[in-house]
Amino acid sequence: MKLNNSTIKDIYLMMKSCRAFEERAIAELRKGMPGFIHSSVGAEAIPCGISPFLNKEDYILTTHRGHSDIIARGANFKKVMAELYAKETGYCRGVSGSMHIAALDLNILGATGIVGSGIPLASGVALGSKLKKTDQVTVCYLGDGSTCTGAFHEGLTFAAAFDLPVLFVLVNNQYEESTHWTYWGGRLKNLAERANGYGIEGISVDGNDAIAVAEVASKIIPKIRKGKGPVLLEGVTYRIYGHHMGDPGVGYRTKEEIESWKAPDKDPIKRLLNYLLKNNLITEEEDKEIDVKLNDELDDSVQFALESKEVEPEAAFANSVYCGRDAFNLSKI
Amino acid sequence: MPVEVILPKIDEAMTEGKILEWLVKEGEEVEAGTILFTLETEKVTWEVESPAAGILSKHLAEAGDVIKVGEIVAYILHAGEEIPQAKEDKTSGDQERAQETTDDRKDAGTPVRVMLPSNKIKASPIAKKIARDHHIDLTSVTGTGPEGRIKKIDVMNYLERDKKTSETSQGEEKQRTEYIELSSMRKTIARRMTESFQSVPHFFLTVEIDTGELKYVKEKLARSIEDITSRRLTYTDLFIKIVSKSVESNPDINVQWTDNGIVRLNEINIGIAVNVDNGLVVPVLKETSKKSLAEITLDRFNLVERAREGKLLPNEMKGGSLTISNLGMYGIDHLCPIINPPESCILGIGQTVERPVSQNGEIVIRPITKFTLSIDHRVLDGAIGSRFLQSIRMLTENPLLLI
Amino acid sequence: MREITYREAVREALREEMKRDESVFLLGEDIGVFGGSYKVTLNLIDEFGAERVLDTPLAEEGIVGTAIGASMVGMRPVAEIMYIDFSTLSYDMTINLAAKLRFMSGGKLKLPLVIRTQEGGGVSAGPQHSQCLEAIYGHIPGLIVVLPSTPYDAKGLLKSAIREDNPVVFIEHKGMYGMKGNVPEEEYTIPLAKGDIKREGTDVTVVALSRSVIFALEAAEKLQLENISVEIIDPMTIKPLDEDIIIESVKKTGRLVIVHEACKMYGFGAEIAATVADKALDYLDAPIKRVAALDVPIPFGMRLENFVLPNVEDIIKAVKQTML
Repeated sequence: MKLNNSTIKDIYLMMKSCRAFEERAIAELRKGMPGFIHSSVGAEAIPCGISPFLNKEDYILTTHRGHSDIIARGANFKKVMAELYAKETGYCRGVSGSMHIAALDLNILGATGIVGSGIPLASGVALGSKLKKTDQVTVCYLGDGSTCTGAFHEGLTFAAAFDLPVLFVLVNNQYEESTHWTYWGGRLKNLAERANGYGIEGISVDGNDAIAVAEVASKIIPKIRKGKGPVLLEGVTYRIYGHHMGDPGVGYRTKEEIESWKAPDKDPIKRLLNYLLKNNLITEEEDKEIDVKLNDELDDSVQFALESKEVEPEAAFANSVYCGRDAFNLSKI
Repeated sequence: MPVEVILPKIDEAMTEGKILEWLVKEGEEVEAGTILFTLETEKVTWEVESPAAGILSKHLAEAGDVIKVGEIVAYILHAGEEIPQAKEDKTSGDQERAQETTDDRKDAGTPVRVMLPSNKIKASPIAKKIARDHHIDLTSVTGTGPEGRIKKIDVMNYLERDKKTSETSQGEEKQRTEYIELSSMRKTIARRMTESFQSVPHFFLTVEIDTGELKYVKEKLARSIEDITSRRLTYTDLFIKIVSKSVESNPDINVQWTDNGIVRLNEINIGIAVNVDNGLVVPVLKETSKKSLAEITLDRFNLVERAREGKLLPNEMKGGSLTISNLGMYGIDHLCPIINPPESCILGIGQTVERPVSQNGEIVIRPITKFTLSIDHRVLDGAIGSRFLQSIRMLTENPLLLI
Repeated sequence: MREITYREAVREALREEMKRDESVFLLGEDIGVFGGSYKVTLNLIDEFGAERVLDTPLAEEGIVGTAIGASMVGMRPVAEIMYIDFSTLSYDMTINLAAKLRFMSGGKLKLPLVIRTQEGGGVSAGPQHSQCLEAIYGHIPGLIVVLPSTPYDAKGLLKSAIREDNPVVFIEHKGMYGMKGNVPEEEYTIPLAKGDIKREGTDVTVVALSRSVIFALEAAEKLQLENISVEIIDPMTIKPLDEDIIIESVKKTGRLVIVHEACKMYGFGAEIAATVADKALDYLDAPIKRVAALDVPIPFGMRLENFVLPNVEDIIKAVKQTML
């Protein structure tokens, strides 16, 4: 599938949505919204470059840093914001929060906060599709740190052993909390090399070049769908904010480094804007209008979240700890 | 539009933070992103950036202040703008909690335990339960379990034997008697009266008073009191007035015994014993010597009504100089009431009986009422008690002296 | 009625459920061609093919994780973890994912997977191959935990477990695979979360799990000769627990002994003791006794194992203590 201009523009819009949402969620957090946010600001190009080439029936699994992944897949601002605000109108009825959003109608099967644990799950999902003989592809978003875990190893071992239709998307934002990946991975040129350990294809791409990501995705996803087997796709990007919003993000890295990744030659959104402007695919005015429109949508979503109720405790546990069975021992005494 | 600068939430558990240092002075110009101040939380030191370009307003909090998340610490103003009027949102002052008397508000009492507490005896739970149900004293049961533990079989055997041998076994006793649950009021009365009776050396002075004149005055005043207060004038109201006046002229009676010594009261407050459902309460009328008869009547009516409804406030049951207990309407001639602690005396009034008495050498029939004053002998002696009673008699027999 | 072994009963349950429902498939180490290290899955691969009897890499976290993932998209996997001692490697998957994904998704995801494993000692397998760890799973909300004690129970409960729409940890006992018992030819299932009275009695209630049920039955026979009548309750599912059947029994007898092969501290027995002390205190005529393994690693060798693991004599002693 060749990249046409409308696809590129869609990717740009999607990236702006992701970033606008994330920035607004952070602002709400500062005002007192509960919980953690592990922001994906800076890494939008990867999910936005991949999502246009997935079918509706394809599955995605993501991580605690998954807001952009799910918005790129079509998650609704209101329901995500309501979930962050622990309201019953959120995707998970407000019981899970930022790190575990699942939206089954979009085939977003969930997000896990134990680093790496989604990887064997993704293999399992892909196995299920294979056994059912569908042509669904499973996309598993994972981070640089997760490549150290046993779960990464076991998940990729299974995917390789059974030729499973999984695209493992390694969002290498370079920092595992406060540790740069080269601290333990210095022997490797890039993390895509880990694929060699399993005999599967490993691809490394500039994760802030949305077009490059999209070009790879457009070629590789159909191949996986046809039964080529699992692929490890690394997008090299950068985590602009700290590990979560309580981490100032400096101390283990310099302000200069952070600022350099915000520059127009590195930041994925600015880069794609330049491309669109240069190729007359967008005007500055249009761009500003997009901002206004996103702002309004986000205002609505915050309003929606604030006006929604929290789920009643009894309802929170009804038919949700077990399927078809009451939760028992609902008395603390 | 002034832009708020708030204390931001940095991590999920944060509820407040300390401002370490302002890096921008009031009135200085700033850009969006300029660092305004540093903030210390439990986990990190954070630089807080300006949300907008403009001029930094007056600092609404100072370095060293601990501020809650979300509170406004300054504004970014544009030319000509001012800080918005702070809305005073002070919470209403804490309501004064009426000080509760210790016992009167406790939960309903538990049934009286008439058996020995069995928790020092080694017995299995079911053995204890059977013993409780049958009112068996476990100290009389022999245990055959390990280390003498009483088992179910032991209690059952005891019951068997007991039934056979004794006529008046406690099981049967249980059928003849009925245990009544104690209300908290009854418990309170029991405790206080026991305390008073046991620790206060009571002695009693009685006078017989001719209440004929008083009756006449009552009849005369009844109408006008009723017009003023819409309530009926009673003898109690008159007695309150009389006793108050008597306390006024015998101030030495207005005292209390405390652990730190004898205390003289500054006010004259009179308590009246009121019968309520299954018990007794003593509402106290305050500053009765300063009140007119009409005011006393109204006061008394309201307090008694509230007493009967159980709605007296704690301070309406405290602070009496003495209590009046009138059992005349129950046909009692003479009573020796127990002092209501911490008061130093209590006046018991019996019924009025038409009796022959000697007046100026002749026998006449007069209405005679016995007044008994119980006195705490630690504080008061016979002389002052007698003087006080004589004042009461004087005023009762010559009511016009009340004017 | 015919007699088959516990192992055969489990195998029959797997076969019948795989025939009945195409979405049921097996995965585990050496379960296919080799037939499983305890030969439970022998020959199933011939009948159902390598796709439905999947030999996996040696990776417990991968096995359980894969099973969870497949169950999320409509399959009904039955994963085998060879020894419960190895399940420690898959705790993150079971405890943080299988048990919680439904709840975390706001009640939307359904995870109908079964993790089959086996526990227990008495075969000189040593400290890392003899443990009983059901209490760890029993502590986790969101899991169902089942321990069958007879071939009849094993078959009926496993069929129910596979049909159950929640994650089930199904714990067999390595010492019982060869045990024979009556199992009807006709199809039947046994409901989860319901206990079973294995023997009726009036003097003492013995609550026992897995192989301890067999020991308790032996002990009861011997005690009967001394005129002590023992009632044996086998909960079968420890989570959710059928409290009522235990409490009814204690109300009748007034005495309680709990037997399990797992170590005593923080074991299943503690849960039963606390529940009974809470809900039936006034019926107890003696302290509650737990018969369990010593709190030590299970040693190698018969003599030491006998010293450590609860046996028939221990149960008899405990029962007699409650009768004192």
